[in-house]
Amino acid sequence: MSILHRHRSALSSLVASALALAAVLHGGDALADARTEARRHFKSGMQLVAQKRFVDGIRELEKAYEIAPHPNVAFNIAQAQAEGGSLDLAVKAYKTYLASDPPDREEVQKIMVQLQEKIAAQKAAEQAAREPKPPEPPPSDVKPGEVKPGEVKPAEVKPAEVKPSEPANAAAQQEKDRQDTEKIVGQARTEDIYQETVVTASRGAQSPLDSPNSTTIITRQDIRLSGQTRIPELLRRVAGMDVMQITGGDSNVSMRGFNSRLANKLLVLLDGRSVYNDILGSTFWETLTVDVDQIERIEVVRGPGSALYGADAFAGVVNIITIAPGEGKPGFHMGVGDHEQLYGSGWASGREGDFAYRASVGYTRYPRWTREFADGRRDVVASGFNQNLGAENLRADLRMTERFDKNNTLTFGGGFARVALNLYGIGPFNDYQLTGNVLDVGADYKGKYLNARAYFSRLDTASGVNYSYTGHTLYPSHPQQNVFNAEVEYIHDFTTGPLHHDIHAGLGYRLKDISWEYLQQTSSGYPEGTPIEHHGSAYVQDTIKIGSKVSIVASGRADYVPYLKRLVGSPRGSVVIKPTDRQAVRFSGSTAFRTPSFLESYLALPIQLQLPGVELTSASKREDVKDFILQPEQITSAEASYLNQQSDFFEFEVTAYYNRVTNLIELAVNRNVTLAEKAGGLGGFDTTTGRYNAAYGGWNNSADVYNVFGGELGLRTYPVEGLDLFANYAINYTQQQHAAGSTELDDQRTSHHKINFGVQVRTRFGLNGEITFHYQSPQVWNEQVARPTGIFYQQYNLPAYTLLNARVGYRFLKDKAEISAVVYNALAEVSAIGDNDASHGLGPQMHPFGNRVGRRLMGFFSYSL
Amino acid sequence: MASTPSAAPSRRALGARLLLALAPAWVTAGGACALPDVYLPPDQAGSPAGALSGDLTYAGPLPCTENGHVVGAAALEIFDVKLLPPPEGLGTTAASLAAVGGDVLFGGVVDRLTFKTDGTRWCPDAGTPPVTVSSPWGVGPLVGGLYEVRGFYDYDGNFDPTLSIARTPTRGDIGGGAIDNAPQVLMGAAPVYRRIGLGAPQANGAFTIPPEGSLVSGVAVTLGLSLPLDIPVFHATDVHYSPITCNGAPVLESDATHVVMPSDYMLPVFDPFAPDKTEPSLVRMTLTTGLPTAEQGAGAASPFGLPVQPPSNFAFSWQDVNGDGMLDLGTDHVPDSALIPSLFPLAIFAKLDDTYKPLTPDDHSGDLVPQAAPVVILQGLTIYKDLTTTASSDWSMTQPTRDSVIVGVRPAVLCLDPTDQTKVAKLVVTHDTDCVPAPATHKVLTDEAGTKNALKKQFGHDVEVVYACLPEGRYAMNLVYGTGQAWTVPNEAGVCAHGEPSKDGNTTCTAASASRPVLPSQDVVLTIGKPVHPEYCAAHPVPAECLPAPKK
Repeated sequence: MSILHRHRSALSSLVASALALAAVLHGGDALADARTEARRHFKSGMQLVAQKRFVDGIRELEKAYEIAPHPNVAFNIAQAQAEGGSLDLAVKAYKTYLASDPPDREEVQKIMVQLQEKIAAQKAAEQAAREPKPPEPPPSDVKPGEVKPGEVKPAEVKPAEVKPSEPANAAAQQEKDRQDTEKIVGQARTEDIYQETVVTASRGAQSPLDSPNSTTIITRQDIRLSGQTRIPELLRRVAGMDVMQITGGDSNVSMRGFNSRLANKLLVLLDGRSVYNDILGSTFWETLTVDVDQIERIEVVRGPGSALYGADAFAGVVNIITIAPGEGKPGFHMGVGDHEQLYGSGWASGREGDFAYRASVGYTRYPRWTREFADGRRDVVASGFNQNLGAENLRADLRMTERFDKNNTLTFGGGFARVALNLYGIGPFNDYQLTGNVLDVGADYKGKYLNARAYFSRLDTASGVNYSYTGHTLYPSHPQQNVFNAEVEYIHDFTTGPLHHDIHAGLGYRLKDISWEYLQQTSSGYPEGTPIEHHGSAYVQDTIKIGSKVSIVASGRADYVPYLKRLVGSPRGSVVIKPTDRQAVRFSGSTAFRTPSFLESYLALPIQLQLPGVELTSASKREDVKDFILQPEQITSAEASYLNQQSDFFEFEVTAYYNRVTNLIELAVNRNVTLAEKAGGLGGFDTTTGRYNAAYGGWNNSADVYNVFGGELGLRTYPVEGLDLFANYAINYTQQQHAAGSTELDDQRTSHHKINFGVQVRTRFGLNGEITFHYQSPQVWNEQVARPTGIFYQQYNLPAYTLLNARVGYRFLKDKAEISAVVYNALAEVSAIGDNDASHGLGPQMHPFGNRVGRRLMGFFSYSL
Repeated sequence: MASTPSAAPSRRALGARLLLALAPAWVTAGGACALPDVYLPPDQAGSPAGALSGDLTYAGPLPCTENGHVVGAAALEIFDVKLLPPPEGLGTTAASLAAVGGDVLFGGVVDRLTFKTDGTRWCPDAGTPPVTVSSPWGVGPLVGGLYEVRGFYDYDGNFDPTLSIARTPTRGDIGGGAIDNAPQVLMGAAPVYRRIGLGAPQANGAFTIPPEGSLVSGVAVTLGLSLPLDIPVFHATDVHYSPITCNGAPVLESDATHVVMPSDYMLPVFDPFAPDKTEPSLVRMTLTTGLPTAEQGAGAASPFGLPVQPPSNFAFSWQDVNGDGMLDLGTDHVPDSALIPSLFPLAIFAKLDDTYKPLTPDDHSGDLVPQAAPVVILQGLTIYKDLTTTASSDWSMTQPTRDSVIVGVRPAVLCLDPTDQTKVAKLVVTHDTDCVPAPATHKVLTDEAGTKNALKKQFGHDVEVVYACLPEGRYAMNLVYGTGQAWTVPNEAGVCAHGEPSKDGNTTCTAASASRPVLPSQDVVLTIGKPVHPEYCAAHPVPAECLPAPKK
């Protein structure tokens, strides 16, 4: 039997097992996607309540609340209980509502007072009917002198106001009481609180149906059921995402192509705050100060986002939205796995009046997948870094909110992480270490018309290559990055004639203060040193609704880039047509850019060649072209998509796009030092490094044009309770249009086909889990390699690979505790299809120079109060 | 369906059992403490290799300083013994190069140095006592093999391994290496380099690097021999050839800058016992020291910095051909004749790569690229004044200097693969005799066995003699001293390289911020041209072992 057949057979068995398990569980009272299911119960409940079928309606609402607690559901339960005549239960439900400390708590407290008066009056009337007596005091669970949010002072109940009941027709009396109660409790809250909401694509809350870009959400349930602790692995399930793990601590993520070592085409936000690494232009996922247990959802906006987010939102935006301060209950989650994997996370959350907080601490340890040399080597010199470690992260995070009133909230706080990473850099730095501290502090104000945010982040690390041959340097260095970011946004919506406008306009400032021995130094021939950059930006967006079916989103942003000494503009336009409330057809066109990172702008690094006495100076400042400036990478994108959420049982989206990518920044072909350059004082012996300078390298803008055609098809369905299926497919074809005289090799680093399939199961008796399958077709990478005579491009074929991940968990102690087991890359032994390497049993490579990604197992235990 | 109180515990129990069954699986399956496997991705540095390390000792004059730094560096070249540089071998580049900067090497005696505040160069007075300093050094990666470490301290700071015009030590540099006779070298003896094996020796003579790599530490390198000679910069000034016709062959047509010898050239007279008769039969080039007068100013200035104003005369000396430490005409003579001593500077013509495709119309760097596989060399005959004088002088007593050297171009080349000593080298000689009519005809190889043995000793290859036409094409000219100091024409000074656009009718090469003149005298080659008798070459074609390997 061929490997492929065995592979398919194993996969079929696993999928069949999953389906069989789901079928068995369907016999029980299982739960599917929490949000969808809660929404279904909520809608049903509200319809029944509207029909005055209060008992059934309240039961449905209670189910919705049980699945996904939301204050509005508690409010509506209270309202329905009151209308149904169960005033005691209504008061109880209002108390539940008030426990969430809603902004309208004073109004609700007044309602409760009236209801308690009414209860008192009813009791008085009943008593009077039997034996006239003074009315009894209000319910006993309210202690005199003890006032808590949501509670009512007994003294506020005024017995004197209680009116004696009037002898009348009982039915008429009941109807009158109901009408009285309805006046007291007011209208139910019918807004679709379980409607999926995104905030990233337009910088404001909206349904994905209204979003100007395709937006995918990874929910808290997805995160929990997957068992994944790496955010990039969670992103893999999104159609069109390119995810590759190169080392145990270095994951690179892109979208719709152009992934790379030190991937730099995606803007990653954490609660709207950029975690972009300005030094390298990439995202170090394992340096975040929060872990997956603190994430509420991850929004993935596919397509360029520079119109709102400026430079670096090139291919898309990932916004990691954490659980808000005050939400959730304290708990912890810990895991241990093979190869010394460790994961731990603990958190506490609380609210006191208008003040709320969420604090978390955590520790993560990922081993390398594979290491590059064995212990005992005599010809190399190793760094002091742990040779078996991929990443380590010890972190703490504290965020607080202070609510001033219904419309004004201030969030502030900070995070800190002590990190160690093994990553693959560029050029010769293919086994590179980073150890140090990451810190951020910031404040975020949200008002009705004005939002403002300011934060400071710092990266302070020591770095170097992991090992080198005798006689070679380990490139020790201390990269430091200090970034201060401030932005202010004005929001206003208004109607002019048939048009409704929703305006967002903002100004931004970003200071980048970076030092690194690899960049221009004042003392090494670059008298200007590494500059401090002051970036500025301005943007405006108008979402114009024309009736209920059509909206037009026009956005534009201008960014001042100090390195370029000019403004870069990024327009975007979208038309969203909604044939029904739950369907949308979207057409959008946009441009985006990626500005050269500090490494690309100011590189000045002598790279030791294979001959240890000789070096190549890799420098951004080109000695062969006067006043050379790298241009920003550019993308022009057109996208059409159709999203259908018509049914409560499934939703699907199909998207087609075309991207034109130009000016890609790439490593330049090295050029030897010439005699004419030597006449200008270049070349020769470098007294700083003690090596002879043989050549120059650096960067170039590729003259080639990349035309990318692609599409995504995504489906998520909830056929029966307890079963949640999702699948998506992405196609991507890149046509590399060579410029005249171009000697670049063809690069097909993006798989033509990518497939994701997953099954999620949850049961009331505690068993839950997920199985996901990922496939991506072969790739051809064009990468630079060092040879004795220089550095050259070479093509590398990367075989197709599959990943099968699974998690099974069991909840107990009233769902407060859970144990689970997770397997990552269960098919590791057979997934390196077509690989003839002797080490094929080690698992696939996701990059030609990457680790062999093998199978890992972990067990977890979690508990929350 | 709502779960019933009675059903839930059994399902919970099922779930618990399932998970309990799975829980130990991950512990046993992977092993909680298993370490990552070793896997080196393709083309990544890190595979097991050889390495050398040790201490470098310098014994010589205090160094100069400039711009706040010590001038110069110790350059240590690691040579595979199969590819030793001339005069011992044909190696054109070292297997590796390590450098120890002057700032590091002299860090311990910095208080004895003067650093001028204006940054100009300071050098110690002539009477300043010498200094001995040392510093660690290391080099890797190296493939398994047998190596020699040779080096020098670039005292004047003009060494640059990336340029052929600066790739050789100059007068005043302090030479040495990893040598077995350091004390004797310091007394003026020729160095005997230590041969260092890296890896496990195999039966076939190869060395294999073990999985844990191979490190030879404690390799002591001594630099203490001040080089007395300037590099033998030269330019071609004249060419002489036989006025005698030979088998109807036309008279050669050449001038000093366009020397062409037919690939089937036949010596009119080759009489080992009559140098005066043989000499006119040879194509003889006159190579004059330094540069033409018109180029001397430019050649002495930056970026060339050549010792040509005034030029130094060539220093003639007798080569210890068999390396026995003794100078004896019985063994230390040219292969052609036991009467003629082998003299420094050696004259070697090396075939250039004629398949190089220029990267741009301005790219002339291909003019300088030697043919690497196979190497084709033509050993010239160093003539002092004339062949009779050369043969009659007492070279054991004299080391004369002269402003020119005459090089006789033998109609013979050696083709070999320097990377594989198991391959037989081909000694290609155009004709087995001269064209003196029989019975006075002379054989060209008077001692074929001796010649083959001498070549095998020098280059390590078995040699087979083939009488055939020579490989046509351009040949670079080299003069090499016994110290390894050498000069090659053509070189970078005579052409504009890729990335160095020319202007003003190819008289100037430019860079973004500077330019430099072209020195035309440094763009001259010896050409082996079309045969006079094509039918001879058809019958005696160039051996395949002499033709360039097809490019991938």
